[in-house]
Amino acid sequence: MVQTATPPAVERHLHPLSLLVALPRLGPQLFGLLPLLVAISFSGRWAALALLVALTLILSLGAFFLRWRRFVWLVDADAVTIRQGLWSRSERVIPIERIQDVAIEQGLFHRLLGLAIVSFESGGGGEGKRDDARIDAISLADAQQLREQLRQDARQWAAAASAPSTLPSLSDIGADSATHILHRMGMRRLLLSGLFNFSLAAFGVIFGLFTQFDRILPYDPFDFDLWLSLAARLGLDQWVLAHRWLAAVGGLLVVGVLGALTGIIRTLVRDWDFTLSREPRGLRRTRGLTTRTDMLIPRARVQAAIISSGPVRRFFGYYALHLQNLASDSGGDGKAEVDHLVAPCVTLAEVDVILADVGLTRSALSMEGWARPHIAMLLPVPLTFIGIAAIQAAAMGYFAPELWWVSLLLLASAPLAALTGWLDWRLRRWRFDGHTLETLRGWWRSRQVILPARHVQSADLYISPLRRSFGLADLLLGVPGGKADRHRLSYISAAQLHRLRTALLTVR
Amino acid sequence: MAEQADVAVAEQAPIDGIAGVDAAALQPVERAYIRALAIRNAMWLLPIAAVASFVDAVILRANDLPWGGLMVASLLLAAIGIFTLPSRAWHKIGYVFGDDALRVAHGLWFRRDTIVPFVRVQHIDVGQGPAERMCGVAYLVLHTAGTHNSIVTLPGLRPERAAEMRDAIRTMIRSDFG
Repeated sequence: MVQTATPPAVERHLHPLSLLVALPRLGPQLFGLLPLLVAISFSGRWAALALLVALTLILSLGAFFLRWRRFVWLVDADAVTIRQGLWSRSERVIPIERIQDVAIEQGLFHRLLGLAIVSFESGGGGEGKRDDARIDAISLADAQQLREQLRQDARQWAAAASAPSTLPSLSDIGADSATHILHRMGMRRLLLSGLFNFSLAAFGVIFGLFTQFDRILPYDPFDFDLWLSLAARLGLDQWVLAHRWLAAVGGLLVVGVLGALTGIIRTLVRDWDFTLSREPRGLRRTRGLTTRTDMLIPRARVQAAIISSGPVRRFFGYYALHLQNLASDSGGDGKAEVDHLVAPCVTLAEVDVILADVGLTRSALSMEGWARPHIAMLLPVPLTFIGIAAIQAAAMGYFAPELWWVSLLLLASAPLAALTGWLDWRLRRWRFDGHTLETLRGWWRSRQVILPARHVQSADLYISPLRRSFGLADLLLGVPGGKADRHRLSYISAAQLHRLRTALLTVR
Repeated sequence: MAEQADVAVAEQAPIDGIAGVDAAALQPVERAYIRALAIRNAMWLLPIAAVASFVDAVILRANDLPWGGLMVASLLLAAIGIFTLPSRAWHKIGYVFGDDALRVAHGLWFRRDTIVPFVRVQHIDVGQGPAERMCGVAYLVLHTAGTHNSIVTLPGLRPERAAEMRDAIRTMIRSDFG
């Protein structure tokens, strides 16, 4: 169907024995036949049964063989090409300089037969962690030769690509180690961070324990009457009634102390001796009391920075700093961190020090010098509310006309939704200085995202009917790693976004 | 939007830079893609319509239940899916193949317009599904390193054109370092 780019390279099939390794995959296919087989064997037509099984086997094996025939791979001067498919055909080309890693793996059967699976990873992205291409399977010797060849090619490309740039000089490693610490959390900061991490999770745990142990305890802790009678027996009821304000304050105090303690303990365990230091290739983070982790975040892999804060934390001028990394990275903690936390509780001045080390700068949080979204952004919330209220009113009118006022309740909650929507709109800002795109949002939990344009992989403009009627659009940027929809500008003039998109994609 | 897709520009001057790609008129994809879409839709709509008609005409009727509606509805849906929607979908797809970026736009009410610079491409697929093979069209898929929106698909190309575009992009990726 499709011609190859450069004819001379040799097209190769998989190792014939790979058919044998693939045979177990026939099992599920035959499994689907089971009901039919049972039905036929009950009817006693053994000849038909034998014929059916034989036919299925022949067809499956035939399909296997044809698929094997169709699977062709070749490596030429600048790319790996894999062509496959019986009904649907596809041809994938992976330029050699884009190949990040060549992996060889062998299953048990592969080992017995001297075969190996070669898989390629290109780039950092891709949803999930699937390989970008897979050759299953060729002889181990071929696999090793292929890997060697690709690694050499990749090295040449890398050399050609990075010839002018020099590695950070190693001279500054040997110097006084204290000078390399970008950020360290002392006891005061840890406690402060813990207070900000105020959490009522402890109550959940206690509640959970109670429900677990209510069978063991001789009484039911959720039986209110029991507590009442207990209080009455101790003469407490009169006291509580007489000092109910005191009791309420006391209750709040218990909640407050327990919540703060939970936050502090959690923070101490997670961030004990949190140290962020600079290494020649990146940032090194060590932290933890019980489980101590040590992680290197290579500078080259940092895609964007996220400065976030909560309402209380922000009031006191403290923020958390995360770095968005290439997708394939997993944190040192065993579980994958979507973004790397490089500072849990820092002032903006301290943020700037860390940002400077990864070559990023931050704009001030003022309202001036930033562009804002269009006010049409406020429309969807009331429109949805009115729509739902109308549907509900219609349904109520039909089924229970005497309950008409329920619809008003729904409408009454609309102002709250409108207010939060307005606050969200009011605080959303963005700016682009020709190199870096900054976005700011969040009236409760705030978030400032700093994204260098050179990390933008693709850019989508999204236009809905509402946006179109105001001449607006959204801009969605493809950036390796991170969470979906983070790099999105909503309800901005379409003409402006066209220019912004061009500028973002043109920067190198 | 529909008129936009009808403007067939046979040979265009080289489209320079992202700005050029952004400003250029969208090119329609091959008309054969309509047929491919119709076949693809028929492959699942017709069996469903057949089963629904069978249930309607045999089971419902045998049980003295009101019949006929299900059959008409399922056949109508199949007809819309096979005869109406494909050409509408075709009208909405447009692309610009520039010197250093590909732009793909689709959707009428909810429109999405994507630009991928060739230097950002990690690997490229060219392929055909069964229906596309019958109609002689192919798709081109560009994969970037982005985690979200990292796959950009342009369907409905002549296979030679798809291969041509693929090879052009390959050359671009190389010259990025050359």
